[in-house]
Amino acid sequence: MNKLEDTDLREALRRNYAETPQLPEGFMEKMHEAVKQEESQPRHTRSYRLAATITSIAAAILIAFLLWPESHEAPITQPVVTETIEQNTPQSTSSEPIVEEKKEAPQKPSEPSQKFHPANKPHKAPQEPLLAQAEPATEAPARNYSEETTSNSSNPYLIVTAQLQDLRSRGERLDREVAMMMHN
Amino acid sequence: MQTEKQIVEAVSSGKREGQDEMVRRYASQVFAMIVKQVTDEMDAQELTQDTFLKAFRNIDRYDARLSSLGTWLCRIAYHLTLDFLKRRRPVIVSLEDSSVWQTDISDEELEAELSTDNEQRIERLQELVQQLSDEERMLLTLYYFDDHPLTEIAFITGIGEKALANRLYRIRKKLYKKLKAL
Repeated sequence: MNKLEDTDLREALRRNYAETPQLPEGFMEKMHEAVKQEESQPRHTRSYRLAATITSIAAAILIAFLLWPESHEAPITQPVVTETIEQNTPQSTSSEPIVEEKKEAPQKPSEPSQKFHPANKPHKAPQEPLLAQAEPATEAPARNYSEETTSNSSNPYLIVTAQLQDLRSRGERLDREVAMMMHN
Repeated sequence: MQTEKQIVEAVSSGKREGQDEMVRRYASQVFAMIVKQVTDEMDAQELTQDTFLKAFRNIDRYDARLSSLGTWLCRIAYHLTLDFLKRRRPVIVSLEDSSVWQTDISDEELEAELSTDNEQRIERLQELVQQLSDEERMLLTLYYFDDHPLTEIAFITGIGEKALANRLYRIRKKLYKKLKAL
């Protein structure tokens, strides 16, 4: 591109900046002070930021990973509760899936559910064995949960499964208590 | 006398002599560029310091193939100054006038209009330049006062050469339009 002269414009600018101040003499000393200040500040602020960023991302991933199985618990727990309610009526036919599910779990909580599996027993009859087994049923999952957490603390699936069983047993116990109150 | 390469190597190694030499050689140029835009001298000094501190921190990013060391420092100073001006005062909208774009005028005609040697027009231009936005005024200053070639201004501002030429043309056209309105 041709260089434009624009002499008036150049002259206007020259006049505007005619009295431009010069750099003061003590600038070098000020520069030394500024450099010293800069060097005295912790240089690892950047690494701190990087570490903080990595830590927060890792924490977010971990939380998401731990929470993710819990999002699948809701659909599992609901059918369990409805199935346990159905078991108290003579028409409990859906207990088999519960039994099968509990068979998959490696621990004791499966046993109590097997005992109230048959639909033919009257309402009152299963209450005693259920009551008798209520405590161990509620205790066992807790123990198993702790055993699982201590022995397989690294396996989130087992942890979640134990929590699920604990919730189921609590639901069953609540249901039994409600049934007792209603019949009493 | 140290070459630019030697200065850069010394600064890169963290040697105080290299830093001092860089400041000694380029501080006046950087300060002059900044103080034209920033009216307060203390602010201009601080910005000059910030320019060199930033240069010391990022010396490894300097590429001698792309520009000279002085131009690279001007680039840092340019952006720091623009940021400072934006923070300090409200954004000054440039002299936008839609009718400006309707005027078809060539560079030669513009040059003729802006080179009349008329005292009154020069004074009017002085005022109009102050009414430009910070960026526009800096571009004009870099080209018409500091006499930087377009390639250097393109590197300093980060604007492409073609776009830069276009901008300079538009700024001049605005000034012409305002002058015509007198």
